[in-house]
Amino acid sequence: MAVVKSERLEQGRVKRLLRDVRADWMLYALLIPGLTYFILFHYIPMYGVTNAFREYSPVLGVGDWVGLEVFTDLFAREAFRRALRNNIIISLLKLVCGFPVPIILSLMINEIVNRRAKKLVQTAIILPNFISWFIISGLLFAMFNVTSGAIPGLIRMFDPDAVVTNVLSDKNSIRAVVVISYVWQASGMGTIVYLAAITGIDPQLYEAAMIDGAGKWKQMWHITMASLRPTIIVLFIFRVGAVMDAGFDQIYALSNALVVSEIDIIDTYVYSIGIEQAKFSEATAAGLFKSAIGLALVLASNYIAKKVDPDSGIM
Amino acid sequence: MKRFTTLLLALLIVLTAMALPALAEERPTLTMILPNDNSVPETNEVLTELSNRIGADITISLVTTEDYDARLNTLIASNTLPDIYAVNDTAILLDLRDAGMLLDMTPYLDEYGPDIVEYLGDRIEMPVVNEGGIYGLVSEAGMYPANLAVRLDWLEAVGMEMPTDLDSFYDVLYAFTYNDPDGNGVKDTYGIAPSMSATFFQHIMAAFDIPFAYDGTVQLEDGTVTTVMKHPRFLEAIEYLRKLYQDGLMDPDFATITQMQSFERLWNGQVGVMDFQSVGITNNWYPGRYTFEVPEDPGEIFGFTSLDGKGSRKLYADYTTADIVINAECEHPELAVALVNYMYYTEEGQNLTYLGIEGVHYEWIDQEAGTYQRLGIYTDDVVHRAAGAYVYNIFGGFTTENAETRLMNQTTRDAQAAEWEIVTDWPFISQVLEADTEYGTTLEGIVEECFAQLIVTTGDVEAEYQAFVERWETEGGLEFEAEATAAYLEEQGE
Repeated sequence: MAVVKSERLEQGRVKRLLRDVRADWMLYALLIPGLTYFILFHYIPMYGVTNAFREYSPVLGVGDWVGLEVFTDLFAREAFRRALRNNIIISLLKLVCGFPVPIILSLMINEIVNRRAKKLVQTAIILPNFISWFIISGLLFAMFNVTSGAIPGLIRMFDPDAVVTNVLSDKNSIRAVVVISYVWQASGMGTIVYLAAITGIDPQLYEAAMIDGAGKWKQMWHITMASLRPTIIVLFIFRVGAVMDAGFDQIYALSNALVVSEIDIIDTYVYSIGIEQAKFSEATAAGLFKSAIGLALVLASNYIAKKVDPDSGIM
Repeated sequence: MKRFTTLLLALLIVLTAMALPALAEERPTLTMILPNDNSVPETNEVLTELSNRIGADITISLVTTEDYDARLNTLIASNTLPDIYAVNDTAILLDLRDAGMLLDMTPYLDEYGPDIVEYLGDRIEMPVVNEGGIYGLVSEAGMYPANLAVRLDWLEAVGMEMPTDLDSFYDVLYAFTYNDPDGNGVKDTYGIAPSMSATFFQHIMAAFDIPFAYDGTVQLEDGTVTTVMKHPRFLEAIEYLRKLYQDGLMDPDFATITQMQSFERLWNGQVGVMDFQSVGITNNWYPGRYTFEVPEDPGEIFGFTSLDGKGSRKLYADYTTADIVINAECEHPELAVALVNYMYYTEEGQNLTYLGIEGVHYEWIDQEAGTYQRLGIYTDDVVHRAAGAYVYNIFGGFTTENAETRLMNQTTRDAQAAEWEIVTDWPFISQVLEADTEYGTTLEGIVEECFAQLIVTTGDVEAEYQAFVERWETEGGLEFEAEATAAYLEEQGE
């Protein structure tokens, strides 16, 4: 009896959907390009993931199934373990140092009264986002190279005997360079969403708070930050999901023989073994492993976010 | 309306029919990619002339040497290979042949590649890929060992003699760094300014009996063939380089600058010593690339030496790769073979791709003697290369005697001949090693990292060195060592 009822319910739902589609077919037609894009470029290529479990040669094509052998070989490689370790360290550093900066910047920009100055600051901090990492790498080299760099030149101007090192080839400083240059490049773009969210806050809340005697700091904390909380949580979940993306372009551009041990990440390792050495199975396995971690982190952070605030989360 | 549409359709059919013969007359196309660090406009005078001489529209893409393998792998994976290309990776080369993706040139050689046949003779079968057919060609040109070049005017300025051993070499580098050899009153020079390319360290390493390359091998006393990193004097050589680095005689940015930036330091008069092929220093770059005034005779400003009489690493032609293969799906295989034959194996083709068009880019002074002069704006190297000269045939041809060697000046010739007399030999293995195919790139990366790191480290050199050796061994090095030793002994007939 219960089964029959469930089938009827299901049929009813399908009928309703078909009716809706027929009625609003033009709206549904707008979905087609987007769906096609995702099917072509995101779902069909997923078949390639099977290469992680098979022997694959770009020339000879797919070979026999080998189970988890590729993963076993991968984890046996010190270079992969090193890339994984670096990936986690750099990602966490970028998350910890980089995530709060757009929020702080947005709060600061929001307090600028002069509209022209506000726009100028906004444009100035967003611009670095459009500069390629290879250009930034060139700029950093021009700034820090010991022979003719601007910074060493400045230091020598004040102290001609100073021993200057190139931070781009120093193991002890390269991760700081990676994180600081990342924050400089990406933070401006990150402020857009927060500034949009701030614009949507009801001004009456501030007026009411002022009447109640709240100063600027309390208004910022209790109104602006409180209103931004759902946005921050959603963006944090997205950021955590992408935490294993430590920035291929940036690392590839900044890498050299002296610092590779500190900044080689999974993406650069995948490029090296996949594209340069044509070991596509190992490259796929490394990429799949990275994606699995990303998925687990998204689910975990979403779960925690919902526990803390049931209205938060993305699923 | 119907009548009008019918008439319009009929007209279209007639016009299409008329256009068909014109379409049929279009020239065939050939596509090619080459590893080359120069950049040049996609269409240029030399390429147009080459296309006209072959009777095909030729497109040649240049990919930097460093990125070439990666580009080729993506072309293979996306099944968009050009008609003609080079393959550096032995495993891929053999896979391409086994998958039927390489053209067997045998049926075309007599008619379209007579110069290839005449020049190579039986040697055509030497490339490992040429089993059961002629699938690839290997260049025998460009076998230029590195020379240790020293600025003679700087030596004179600091009042020193040509260095001949490690101690005098240190003294010269010191004077070049701190005694203002260019006389401008500013401390703006270095003894040497290498990049990470192994070529720049040839003579220093050779002075410690090490034939240096990151993927290079040496034979130990017990007969084991292994990495240069395990040479008993490797750390001794590193200590010498550390001293140069710590005393500021070597450009401290060596790990971050490119090979081209290293060259620029010589061209701009910032360094007085360079370990590189004389063909660049006193021939191809001379005088156009130098930004300071140079005499007409390069022998007056550059001298060549060796340290303790030991020369750079001996070069062997690598028959495990192929400098040219032709795609089995090439629509015009006969033209592809004819192009390779013309460009690389005929004097006329070599001259065109190396010097440019006669009467436009250059003219002969005495062709027999190999003297010529560039014309008008083409005296500028950059303009000359932008016109397509030099870039498609970087060593002047695939033959040992080619456009480059025929035109080489005496200073360069003498330097090359002298270097060949003292080159440092090493255990060359002609066969393909499985361990090299599997782990080669990783092992090479470890040696490069070790070399750079040990020069600059402030930590315990010995301990760091041992960690690198251990890493090399566990990442496939021991397998490589066993296979290489067995293969070398087999080839030596022991």
